[in-house]
Amino acid sequence: MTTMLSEDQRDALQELCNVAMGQAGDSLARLLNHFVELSIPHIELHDAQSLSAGIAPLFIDPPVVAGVQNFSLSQGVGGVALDGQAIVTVPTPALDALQSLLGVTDQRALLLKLTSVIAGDFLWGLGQQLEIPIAPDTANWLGVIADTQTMLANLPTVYQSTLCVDLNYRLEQHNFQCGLILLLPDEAFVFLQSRLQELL
Amino acid sequence: MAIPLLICDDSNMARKQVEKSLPAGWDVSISYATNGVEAVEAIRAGKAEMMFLDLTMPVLDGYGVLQTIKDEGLDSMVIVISADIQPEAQERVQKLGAMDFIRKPVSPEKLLETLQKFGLL
Repeated sequence: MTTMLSEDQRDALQELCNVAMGQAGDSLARLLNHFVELSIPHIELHDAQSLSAGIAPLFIDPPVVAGVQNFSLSQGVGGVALDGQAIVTVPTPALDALQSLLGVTDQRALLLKLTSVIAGDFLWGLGQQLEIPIAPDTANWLGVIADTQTMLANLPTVYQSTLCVDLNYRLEQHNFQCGLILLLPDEAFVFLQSRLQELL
Repeated sequence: MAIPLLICDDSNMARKQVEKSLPAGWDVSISYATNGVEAVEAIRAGKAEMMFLDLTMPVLDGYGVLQTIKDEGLDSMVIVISADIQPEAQERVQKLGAMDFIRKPVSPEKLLETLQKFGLL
């Protein structure tokens, strides 16, 4: 099963996600003009069978709003470019609180901004450390997610390998939690794994 | 005489990255800690005259370690090596008494520059 990483690879990926999360956190802090507390990101790997059940906890309660950041990664010179998607999920109360904090009326625009900042920076940070060029594409609104199966069914591709990163940024006095789900085609995951191995 | 150096980070890879980045021939005796509580214990045991400290750790984080050092008047020269690079993080650690802040991922060049800056090499 390609979603199996060795313990060393997993530890390495955890650290890379930590660094990438720090970079996204920095952009978030600047965007919100507020100190952002970082947590240790919780990472989980899923294949197509376990994905829907695996990510369900991110969506249960309270209801969650999501945006998707499309991206492509290249496997080096002459390598085929592969497309992936990063879904950013924000619990509705957290989004409402952010809206009040920033005094903005357009919730959709806010969510899209958060999606491109968080997913974009995270992907850039990850790509930089792995020396894999990752180019962000469009960010789209997915809206309030009623159930994960419907959400996954509406995506253009069936993803074989998924990396779920549960990020927990906290603003002092305001709980702001968000989830990040990185959907990668199998080949991209295998490539990522080989790069991880090289770092060990 | 070898300087007792503590490398404190919950990530195995991060600890290895710091160790690999240490200048060749630097006379240090290295210990490791995986969280802030272990770091404070190491300081009390005389193993952390110098410390490279991560911020995001379970049990007790890097900010907590710096606060403990400050509150209890403990002795340790701390250089923070962290992924938490927001501007206020750097201000906070410096106010808490850290000597400097190195942005992850660490490299031999960054480490050498910092050590030379403080005349530690």
